[in-house]
Amino acid sequence: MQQAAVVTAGPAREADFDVLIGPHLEAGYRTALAILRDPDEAHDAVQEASFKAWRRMRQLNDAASARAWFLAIVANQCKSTRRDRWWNVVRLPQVERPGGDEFDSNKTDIGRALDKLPGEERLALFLHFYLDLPLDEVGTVLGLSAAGAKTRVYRAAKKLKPDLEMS
Amino acid sequence: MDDLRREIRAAFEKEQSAYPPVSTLRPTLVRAAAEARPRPQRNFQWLAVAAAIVLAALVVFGLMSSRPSDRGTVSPPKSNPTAGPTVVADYGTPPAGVPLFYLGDPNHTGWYIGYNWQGVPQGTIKLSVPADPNSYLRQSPDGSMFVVTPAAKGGSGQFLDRLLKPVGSASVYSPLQMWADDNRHYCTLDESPGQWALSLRTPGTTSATTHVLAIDSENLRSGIIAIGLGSCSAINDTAVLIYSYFPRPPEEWVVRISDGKIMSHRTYDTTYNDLVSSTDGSLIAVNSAKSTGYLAGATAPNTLVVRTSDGSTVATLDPTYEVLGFSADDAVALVATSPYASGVATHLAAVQLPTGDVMWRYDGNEYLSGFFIESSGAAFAVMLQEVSDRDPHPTVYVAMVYRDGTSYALVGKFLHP
Repeated sequence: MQQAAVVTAGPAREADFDVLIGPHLEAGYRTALAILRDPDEAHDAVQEASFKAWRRMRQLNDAASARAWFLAIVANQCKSTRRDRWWNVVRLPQVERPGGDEFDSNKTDIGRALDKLPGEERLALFLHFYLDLPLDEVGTVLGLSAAGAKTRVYRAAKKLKPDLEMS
Repeated sequence: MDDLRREIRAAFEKEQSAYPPVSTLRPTLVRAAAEARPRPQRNFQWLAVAAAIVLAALVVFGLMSSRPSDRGTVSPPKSNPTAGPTVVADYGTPPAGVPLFYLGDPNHTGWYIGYNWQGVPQGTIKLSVPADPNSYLRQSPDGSMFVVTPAAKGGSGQFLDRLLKPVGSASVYSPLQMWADDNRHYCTLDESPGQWALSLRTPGTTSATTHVLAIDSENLRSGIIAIGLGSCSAINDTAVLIYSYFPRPPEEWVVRISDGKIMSHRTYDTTYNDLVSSTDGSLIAVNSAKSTGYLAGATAPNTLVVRTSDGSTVATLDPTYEVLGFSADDAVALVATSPYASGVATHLAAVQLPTGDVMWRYDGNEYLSGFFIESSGAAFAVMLQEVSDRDPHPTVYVAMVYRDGTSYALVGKFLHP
C-alpha cells in the first residue's frame, strides 16, 4: 500500500534527503560504476543524480520505493553521460590504455561474457544478482514491469550460457 | 540457475572490488545536493502525452522555424525543396572532397547515410561488421575520417577512412581525444603523474607531436580531474584546454600545439559554470551558472563570449543561455535556452555574434541528441530525439540551421550514429 508523502510540504530538507536517499548512495555509485566503469565518471553521475533526486524528492510518495527510484535516476544519468561524450560530434571519446578488459587474464569467462552483453541486459543482471533487487525494483529502474524485468534478466542470463559453452 | 547466479555475482564482485568504497560519499553528496539550488519544476507529463499523439506533425510541421525570428517566437515551417526522401535506399559511394555529415540508417544496421550541407543524401557507407550497440561512429569535421569508439572502458578505438576501411586503432591512455580541424589529425591530452601532455597524432600511425604542458592550478592539484580539450585546431596551431567542475572556478588554457607553449591562462569565478571553445580556438563561451539552472550560490549576470587572444568580450548574452558550440566561421552560436538535463526537453536557439540576435529557435518537446557543425561555414545539423528514447542510438530527427536563420527538417527518421 502506498504511504503518504514522505517529504513534508515546502522545500526539500537535508535531513529528509539523508534518510531517504543517503542509504542508497553507495548502491547508486556501484550501479554507475557497473555502467560507466570509471570511478570519476561514476562519481560525477551519482552526484548529478543526487541533484536531480533532491529536486524531485517531492515526487517520491513511498519511502519503500526510494531505492529503485533513485537507482533509476542514476541509470538515466549514466546513459546521459555516455551520450554527452558525443554531444559535440567532432569530439572524440576516451580511448583507453592497451591491454584492456578484452585481454585481462584476471577476468573470468563469465566476466568476459558479461562485458559482451548489451548495456541494459548487463544492468539487469547487476541489479538483480549483485544488488539483490527484487524484480519489481529492477523493473522500476529499467522502466519495465516486473514481468518485463524478469524476461530481461532471463534473456540476459540465457545469453551467458551459450557464450560460455563456446569458449 | 543458482550456479549461474553465483558466477554472475562473483564476476560483478570482482569487477567492483577494483573500486574501493568512497567513505565520504554519503556526507559529501547529501551536502552537495542540499546546497544545490532547485531548478524550477516543470510538468512535462502533458507534453509527453501530446507528443505521443502528434509527434510526426510536431516534427515535420512544428519543430523548425524557417526564417529569422524574433526572440520568443517560432516561425512557420518549410520543407527543404531539394532534399529527397531519406533512409530508403543505398545512396552509393559518397563523393570525395565534399563535406558530409553521417546519420545512422534505421533500416540497415551498420549503414550510415552521408548528407551534404544542403540536406541532400550523397552516399551510404557501411561497416563490414556492425559496431557494438555501445559504440559510436564519430566523424571528423568534414566526414572524411571516422573512429568507432570502444564499447566500454578498456577497449581501443578503431580509426576508419572515409569509406570505413580500417586505418588503425588507438590504444593510448588518454582522458580526452578530439579530432583536429584539418580532418587528418587528432589531439590527445594525456596525464602522467603530475604532468599533462598534449599531442597531435595521426590516425593509424605512431606519428605524434607531443609536449608536456607547464600547467598548474589549484583545481588540478585538488585531484578532481575535470580538465579536457575544448578545441584542437591544427590549422591555427592552437588547442584550448578547459577545466570545468562545479563548484570549482572554471579555467582555460590556450596552448600552441607545435611547442606546447601556454599562450594564455584565464580563471573565471564560480558564478560561471562551464566553458565551450570554438573549433578554431579563437572564441570561448563562458556560461553563466544560471544557464545550468540548479547551481548553488551566485550566478553571473550574463553568459559571455570572449576572444581567447586578448580576453576581450565579443558578445554578452542572456545568463540563461548556455552556449553549446560555435559555427566554424564563429558567426553563430548554438545555445540551450533552457537548462540542459537528461529526461527534459531541450530548448535551443542560434544567436548571431556579436549582436546576440536570435536567428532561430526551437521550443519543442524533444531532447537534444547532438549536433554537427559545418566544417566550413555557419550551419548546424541538430539532432533531436524523444525524451523517452533510452536507446544508446536513439531515433533522431534532424534540423538544418543556417546562418540567416533559415531552417528545415530532413525528411525521415535516423539513428544517432
